[in-house]
Amino acid sequence: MSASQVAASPLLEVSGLNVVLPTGRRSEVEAVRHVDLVVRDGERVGIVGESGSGKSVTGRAIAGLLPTSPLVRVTGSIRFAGREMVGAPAEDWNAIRRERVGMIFQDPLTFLNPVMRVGRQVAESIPLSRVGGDRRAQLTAVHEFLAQAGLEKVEQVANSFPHELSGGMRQRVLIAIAIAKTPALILADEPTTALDATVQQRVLDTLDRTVADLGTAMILISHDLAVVAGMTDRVYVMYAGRIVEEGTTEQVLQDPQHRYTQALLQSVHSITEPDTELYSIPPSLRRELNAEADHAS
Amino acid sequence: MTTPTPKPDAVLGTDAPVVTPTEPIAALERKRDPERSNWRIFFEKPTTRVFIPVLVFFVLLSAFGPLFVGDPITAGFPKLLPPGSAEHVLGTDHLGRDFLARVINGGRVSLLVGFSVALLCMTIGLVVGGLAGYFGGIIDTVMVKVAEFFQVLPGIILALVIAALLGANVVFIVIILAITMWPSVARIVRAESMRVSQLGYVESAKAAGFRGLRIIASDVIPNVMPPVLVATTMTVGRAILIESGLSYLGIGDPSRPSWGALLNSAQSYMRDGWWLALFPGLCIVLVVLAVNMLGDALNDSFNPTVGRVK
Repeated sequence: MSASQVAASPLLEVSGLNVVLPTGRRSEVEAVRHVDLVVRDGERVGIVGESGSGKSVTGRAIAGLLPTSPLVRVTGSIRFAGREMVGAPAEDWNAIRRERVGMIFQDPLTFLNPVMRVGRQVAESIPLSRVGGDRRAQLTAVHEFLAQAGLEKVEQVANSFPHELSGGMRQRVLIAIAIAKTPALILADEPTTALDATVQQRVLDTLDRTVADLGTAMILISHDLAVVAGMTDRVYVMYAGRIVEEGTTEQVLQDPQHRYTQALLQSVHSITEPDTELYSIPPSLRRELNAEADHAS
Repeated sequence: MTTPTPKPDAVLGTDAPVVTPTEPIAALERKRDPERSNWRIFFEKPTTRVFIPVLVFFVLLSAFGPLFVGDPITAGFPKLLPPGSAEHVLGTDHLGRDFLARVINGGRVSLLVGFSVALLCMTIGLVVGGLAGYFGGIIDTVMVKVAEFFQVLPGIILALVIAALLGANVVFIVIILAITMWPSVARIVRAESMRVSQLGYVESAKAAGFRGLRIIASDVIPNVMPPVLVATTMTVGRAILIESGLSYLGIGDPSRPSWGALLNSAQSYMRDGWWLALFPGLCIVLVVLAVNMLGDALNDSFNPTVGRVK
């Protein structure tokens, strides 16, 4: 591959991604089917869809975090800056995850090591070589990243154990860990689902600002259209493992083309607007959508 | 977080926490003083204050005591002399040997065996159990089979064979006990590691691009330590007791009788020489109790998720 090709390749390019997961001894499910997805440098991309639509599995596949079992089959192509990662050895994945992709997970408590102080967990994302082998500089960097993630009293926070922090603070710590790597891409999988509504918005604001400050690209995976609407440039809508609609966020939200997106938007509006009856996707549409999905595969 | 707060300093004093409505940092400050290290917490516990001196006493007694008492195998004093006399504080045994010297020298052997076996078991158990539990699959299967093999080895027969071939020796006894006792620690480590490996922070570490061995060392093992520490302190007690069993069969080093050996030889003289059973028995009980209590205290102080925060 020539240098110009590498330069021209987008940060992340997923094409024809299929993921088959085992659901029992003899049964399996195509969790992700023919997914094509592109993220360019500094771009923010949303993936929305209901539970079981395959959005999280797509996210995990992109980070190479699906279980390594012969029953889990990933086919298609995942390229980071032109480099093919499907079937790549574990060592290559580790390098990608160490240097390029920062992940923010759903539940902030279980994703922090309970017996390690928060500061050290952030420090693990800052290689000593980057700060000239200086522990003191590393510590300063830890404090800076914690502050950047919107935390106050950073020295105290760095000295705490995760269970001593509130849910919102823990999620900010996860953000700090993710940005401390100075990754090219942040992959946030339902980053605020485990938080209560008031804290949610503040954490999202922080994430929004941090990503903007650093110019990092981001994939935001959420079931919540409202969350995705405010924070992304482009959005992919997933249903039953495939992408049913994609476009700029504005375009998709203003003028949805696919019936599923329309129904999804209608159900959101029915919650946010007063005097509207709560709308849920009718079974007839479900049947149609499922038939369509099966037909296409 | 730029929530305006009423000036708390004016009301509550200079170090009062800034309270923000949604994310109470105040709670954090109350809970834990970062200056207070885990060791300090450990040493401030009442159990520690009682049992550290007990353990230190026995360790010092075993280390330096033999320098100040007579030879434990020199016989010739009056037989079965009760304790209390000036020359023989703890009396003499059935062959007329000074019992204080025997108890103090016995402690050396017993403590050496107990602690070395426990440390060896913990080390082997952490390595084998950690690898098996984290990696699973074929590594797990192999490790479990190896552990099972060592667990079914008849320790006493093995000890007899080795003693017959190589001679009775404390080092051999330690090795034999460690070889047969590590699987029980490894099983605990494996089960806990399997559980921990499914948790978010291990996935988080994988997502951070760390390799398996690194994740085992920094995320898995620290989180499996609580039950392992308790199991290890139990091992100290069990090793001391099993060593007495071996001594009973004559596998112990006869020139260096352990507490277990003293206890066993006391069986025949329960009626005429109660002190022969009482003192070594008391020593074993106190040491095993102290080690177990300290293991618990250690666990409480070093595991930040246990207790302390109320």
